[in-house]
Amino acid sequence: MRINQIFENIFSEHIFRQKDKFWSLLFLSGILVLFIWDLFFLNTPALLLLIKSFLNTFIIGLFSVAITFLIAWRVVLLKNLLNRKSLEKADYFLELSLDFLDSIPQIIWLLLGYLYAIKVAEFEGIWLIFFLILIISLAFLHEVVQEMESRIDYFKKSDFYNAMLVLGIEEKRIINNEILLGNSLAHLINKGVNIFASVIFLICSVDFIISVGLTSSLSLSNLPATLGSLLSNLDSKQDILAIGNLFNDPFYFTELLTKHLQGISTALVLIFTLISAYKISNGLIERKKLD
Amino acid sequence: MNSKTKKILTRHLLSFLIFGSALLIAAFSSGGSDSFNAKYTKIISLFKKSGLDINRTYDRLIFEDAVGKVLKGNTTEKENLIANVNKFTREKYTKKELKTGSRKETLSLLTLPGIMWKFLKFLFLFFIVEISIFYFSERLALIKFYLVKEKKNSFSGLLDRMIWEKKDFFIKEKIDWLRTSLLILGMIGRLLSYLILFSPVYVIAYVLKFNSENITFIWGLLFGIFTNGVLIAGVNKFYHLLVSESKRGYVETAMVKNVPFFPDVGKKELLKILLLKKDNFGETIVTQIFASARLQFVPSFKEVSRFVITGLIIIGMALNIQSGVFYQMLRSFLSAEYDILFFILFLVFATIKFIDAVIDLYAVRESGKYEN
Repeated sequence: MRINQIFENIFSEHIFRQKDKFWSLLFLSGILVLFIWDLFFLNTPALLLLIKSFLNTFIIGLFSVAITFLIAWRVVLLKNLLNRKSLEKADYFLELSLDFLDSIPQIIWLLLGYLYAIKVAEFEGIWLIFFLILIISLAFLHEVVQEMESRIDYFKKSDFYNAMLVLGIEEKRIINNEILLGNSLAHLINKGVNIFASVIFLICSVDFIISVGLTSSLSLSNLPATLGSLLSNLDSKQDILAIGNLFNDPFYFTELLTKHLQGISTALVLIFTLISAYKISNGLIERKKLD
Repeated sequence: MNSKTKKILTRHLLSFLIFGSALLIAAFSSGGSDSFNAKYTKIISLFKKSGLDINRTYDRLIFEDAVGKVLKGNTTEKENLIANVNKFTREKYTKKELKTGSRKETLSLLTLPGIMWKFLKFLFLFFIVEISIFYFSERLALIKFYLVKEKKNSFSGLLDRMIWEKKDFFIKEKIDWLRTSLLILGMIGRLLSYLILFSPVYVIAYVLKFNSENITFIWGLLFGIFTNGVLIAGVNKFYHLLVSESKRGYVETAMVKNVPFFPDVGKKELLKILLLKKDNFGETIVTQIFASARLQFVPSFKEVSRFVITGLIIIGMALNIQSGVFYQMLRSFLSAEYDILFFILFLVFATIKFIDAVIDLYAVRESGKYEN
């Protein structure tokens, strides 16, 4: 395929109308443009730190979403099994436990998990990251379980489900292959995008809180560098504070874009990720008619 | 009380009794516990069994010597024990909270009123933010719904024509430069509002040069409503409910019967009505869509409530508001004041359970009206 054909395909009218794909592309391009800009104007150690923080944040976010969905899927199957075996009390208790997980705000779970991991258990390296991912997954578990269950309930009410049972197809297979994978993938991807955005926001906020308020009481050397901890860094703070100068001198923005890049790039990546996730999710709802 | 209401109440009460009492028991049983000594129970008990005192240097040397002789072959175990003793000594003399004069609060009749007062202040702020977000979510979503329906007047409509009709656009249409400039300004405003609405509060606070001392109640309220993506989450939810309702059969039937979609007034007047009028927009389709969307929005507002609480917690902790209850919660974990930590957790849990129960009961009552 010739190069101009590839460009024509990428920038066809089609993709502009499909807002989820358009925003995914815009997000990747935006990050790439920022990276190239930083390559010219940001000093190398700060650039490397920014890249490391970005990758750490995104890897933790992606793994958290994947593990949340994996645990939620097993929980949904377990709940279904308990219902089939008429173990309503066990199912009820499981539901209450999930409800409890949901009744403490996610940020508190994350914060307590972080503090426990650093202060009490003193986890390090990969164990620390694994523990944090597990805590994040538990904090978001109820939300994903509810989404999966609502899809299953929706199909259970239709003839489709009963017809498959009559045909002798195993219930587990109907749930896994026909309902979740076959007919709910768009819903689940949409949920995944939303949870990814929430996880990124919460990781950064918790890291920021710990790095700003508690450095005198905790050793943070074990924690992976994330956008939140980078944002709380003194240099980044100075950069963000410099944005305030725009109120006195609107032309100061040229200085901002060349001399205060560490903090501004970090904040921009974080906010741009959240906006993109919101737009991708809305585009997906529109395109796949998930309303 | 019907069976549905009973079921909901039972579930919330049971959850509150089981987990709420677990948190309360944890709060009142962990008061005054010495977490430092608990961490080194094994090593302290070994010293006690040997009749030695871990706090005395001479006894520690005897212990090391004895361990060396008893565990001759087991080097790892030996090294671990000695490393633990060294760690105990090091921490005992370096840990801030163990130093003489470091104040450690416990949950008592003296500290309880202070914590409750801080929590009440949080509750007051929370309910104002919650009500504001409910109101703004509905109204801004309604205005967005109207603007999207009238897409031709928006910037995206203009952009669409400029992109897809390309050069024809400039030839065919006489461009109204004033309108185009206004639309572009509108787009910049929209971009700025997105940047603010999605920004974590600490970024905005830094830009505006705020610190823990100059954050007043009003700023807390504004930050609570307009940052951390909370408002946009509510608006988005209600907007999708409006869109989903507008696709229902009854809307098409009403349109065929020539029922007006929006009140038949000028654009400015209409925006004023959509923003300010209570919930009745006359005999129009939007009145019915709005009522049905609200019916579904109320139960899903539980999720938004959690966002609101999360936002306020971030404000309290990230901006180091030391008179706030969540800053105290954070400090209580670090100073091992677990009784206070569990008590504040209990208060948060009880608040969320209360909101959940109220929202569920309201939703059952409202849907009951339509079922009958």
